[in-house]
Amino acid sequence: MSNQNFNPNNTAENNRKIALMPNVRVFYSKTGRAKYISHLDITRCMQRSLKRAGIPVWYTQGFNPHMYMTFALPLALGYESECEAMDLRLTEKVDFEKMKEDLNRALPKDIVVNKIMLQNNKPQTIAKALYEVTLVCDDKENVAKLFDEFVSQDEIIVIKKTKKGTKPMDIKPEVEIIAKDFVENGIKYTMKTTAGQKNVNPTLLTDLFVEKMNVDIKATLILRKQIYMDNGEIFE
Amino acid sequence: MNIKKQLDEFLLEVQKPGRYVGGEVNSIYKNANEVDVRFAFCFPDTYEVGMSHLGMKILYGLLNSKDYCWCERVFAPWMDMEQKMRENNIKLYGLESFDELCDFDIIGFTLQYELSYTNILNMLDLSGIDVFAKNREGLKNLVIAGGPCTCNPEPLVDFVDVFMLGEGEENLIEFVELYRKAKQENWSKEKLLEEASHIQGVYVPSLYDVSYNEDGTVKEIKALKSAPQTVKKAIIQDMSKTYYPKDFVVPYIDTVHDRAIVEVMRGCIRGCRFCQAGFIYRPLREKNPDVLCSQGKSLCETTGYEEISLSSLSTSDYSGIADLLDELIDYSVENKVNLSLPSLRIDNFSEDLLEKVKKVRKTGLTFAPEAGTQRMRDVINKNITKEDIFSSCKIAFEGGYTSVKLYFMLGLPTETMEDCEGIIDLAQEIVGLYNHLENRVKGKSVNVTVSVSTFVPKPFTPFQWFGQDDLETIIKKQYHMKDYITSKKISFKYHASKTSVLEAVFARGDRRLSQVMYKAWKKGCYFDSWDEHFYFDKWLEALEECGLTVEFYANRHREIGEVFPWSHLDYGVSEAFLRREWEKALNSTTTPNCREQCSGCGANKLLERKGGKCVE
Repeated sequence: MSNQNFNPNNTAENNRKIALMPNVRVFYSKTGRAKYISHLDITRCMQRSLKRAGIPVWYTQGFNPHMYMTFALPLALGYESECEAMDLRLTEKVDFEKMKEDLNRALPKDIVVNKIMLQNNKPQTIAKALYEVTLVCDDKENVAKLFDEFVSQDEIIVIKKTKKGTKPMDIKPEVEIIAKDFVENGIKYTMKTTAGQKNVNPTLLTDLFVEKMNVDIKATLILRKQIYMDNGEIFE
Repeated sequence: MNIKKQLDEFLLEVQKPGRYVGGEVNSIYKNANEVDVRFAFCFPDTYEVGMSHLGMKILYGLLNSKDYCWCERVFAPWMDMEQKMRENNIKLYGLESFDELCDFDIIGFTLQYELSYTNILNMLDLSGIDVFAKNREGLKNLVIAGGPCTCNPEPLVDFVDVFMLGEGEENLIEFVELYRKAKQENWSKEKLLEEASHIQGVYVPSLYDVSYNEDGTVKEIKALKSAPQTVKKAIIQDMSKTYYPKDFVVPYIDTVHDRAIVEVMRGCIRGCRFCQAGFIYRPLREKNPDVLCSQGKSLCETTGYEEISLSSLSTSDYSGIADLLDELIDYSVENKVNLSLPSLRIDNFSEDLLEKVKKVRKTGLTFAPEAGTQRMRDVINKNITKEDIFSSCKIAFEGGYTSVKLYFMLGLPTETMEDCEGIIDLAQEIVGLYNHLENRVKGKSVNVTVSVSTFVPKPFTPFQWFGQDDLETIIKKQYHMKDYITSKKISFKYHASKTSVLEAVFARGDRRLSQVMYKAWKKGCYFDSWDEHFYFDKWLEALEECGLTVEFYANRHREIGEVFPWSHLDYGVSEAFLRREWEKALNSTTTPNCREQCSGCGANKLLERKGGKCVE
């Protein structure tokens, strides 16, 4: 239904008031079963959860009003994350602690809000993301040796899909391996990759590794730990 | 849990992994060790289809409202997932606990359409459970089935232990409680089945012996032990008081219908002679409008849905429709919720109603005249006239619509080529009506979509005696209609009829078809309702190997007095009434709807308020 005539937000006075409302940033984690839910489906899930929780979210004013909502750095299907950021505009002031509680009650159990705050920095400031990448395998020593060999090449060329087709790209300078840990089910690498406008997902590296070195990896588990801005500070 | 880790190894390689992980809002988690009965509600089709089904939502909520029972959801994995599961030796599991199906006490399937039957075999097999009921010993993994197709479940008797006829809100709980007692007291499966057969609506096929005549028709159906000679369907006496869920599981992924649903009534006053639902859900029982409003609001609040759908067989026949819409429209505007009204009738589609519908729908309108000529519409007792169709289209066109979609059936009893041409003539006249209308949208041309499906005769309808047109005749009719169209404004849609043939075989099939189904499934037939996975040739092979034919089940005209495979099942409507309706159909005589005049179908006897009329 076209709600434009009935949108309670849709008065001149209200619009002026809401224009003065700052954007709110919701940090949440998405783990467990939820990693198999695509970004588009998460968007719908968030809308319904906000509605269930009764959060006064501002709706866009077009012919087909919808909740105003943006995601700072959409997460790929299959990734888990502890630091997802969703920006909203509210129509009235709310207590962030209470909003967090209400929202957590309304969300599916694998999506948990950790923090709500006013938006400090634009998503355009995002430059890097920190990931834990676990290569699930039996022959850990050998896989680690091959992986170290693989990432120490002078260049690592992946064929990246773009809107205009495919083009080769050297991701060597875009990935920084920070730590390596042997864990129960395999090897866990902590890595920082380029993120934001130019985005390098860790699977670009690991998929190529599996393909080129022909190694037997059962699964690649990826957890996004942190997002950084171009000045090196944590994105908030 | 082990399965979860294994799933991580391949779930990203299958389409729509969200189908297989559960975890949705309002899904229910219990401690498996603290419940007495674990119930797997299995929908024999994909997640997207199954999650759209209202009956499952009702029974999932109902079963889980009992502390002693944990009901989980199971759907048929799509073929890519099935392949991965078989490769990795992963059994079919419940979406809530990830426990294998063989850990469950009761495995319940819903029978919504005949072409989903083979998926039941495949799902049992994928669980490592023997598909044959007689090979499953003990109480564990008891396979039960309910839903509309249980009005003739005979083709499935080799695989299913218990069928639940009719409406399950009350007798399913009675059955589960009996099962719980049986489990606590260590009954044998045989004892449980015999005791269960005394519950209204519970049909235990192994307690009935079927003999056949030389010509292949049923000779006699004999009840064994203490099972009743006829099994009467279960029925809800008061729709306003019966259980309805306060919330629905909200899927993450897009499903066919992803919205709040309120069921405004059960049953239908119309008596269209082709429509099985119109007979097996009799008599009409409406829900109180206040109850509906509060149920709809509760669902929106607990789900966050942006749409409420009013569900029934014919929503414009609901006596409280105006009040209900007024209240729900107020609510929906306030809360940014859309209202959707499927199943509106063409003859009481008023301007007022259109105004209300227009607020909630932007797409085209769909009407179902079902047949092209008045004679044919009288045969099927559709009880609408050409004037009704025209006035509805006129209202729609003047209201700004430029396209209408019309549904028809092909292969109805007594149908001639003129009746088929009548469908196209009708569409042509609607194009003409639009062109001559002054108040239509200027500068836009009209589109009339004619969608034609193949009629399948069903049990418990007046057409249960009728032999379906053979494939050749149907195709001839389809081609003739296609050639008969002259206007470019008419889009003609028809469907390959082979699936309708198989549907006709199973709809009125007998017990011997269990073997056919088993053989066809072994040959790779399942997901038969998905065109890309339908292998008619394999089905014909399977029939032939069992010495059976399509002609016998689908195309053969039955004589009055023939014992049907479902003769021992009682859905309220009497055979005498159906026979009267069949004779009237052959004379093109209509029957008034239940509100105008009671036609004595017999369904009123199902109600506790005896003797009275079903509707005011």
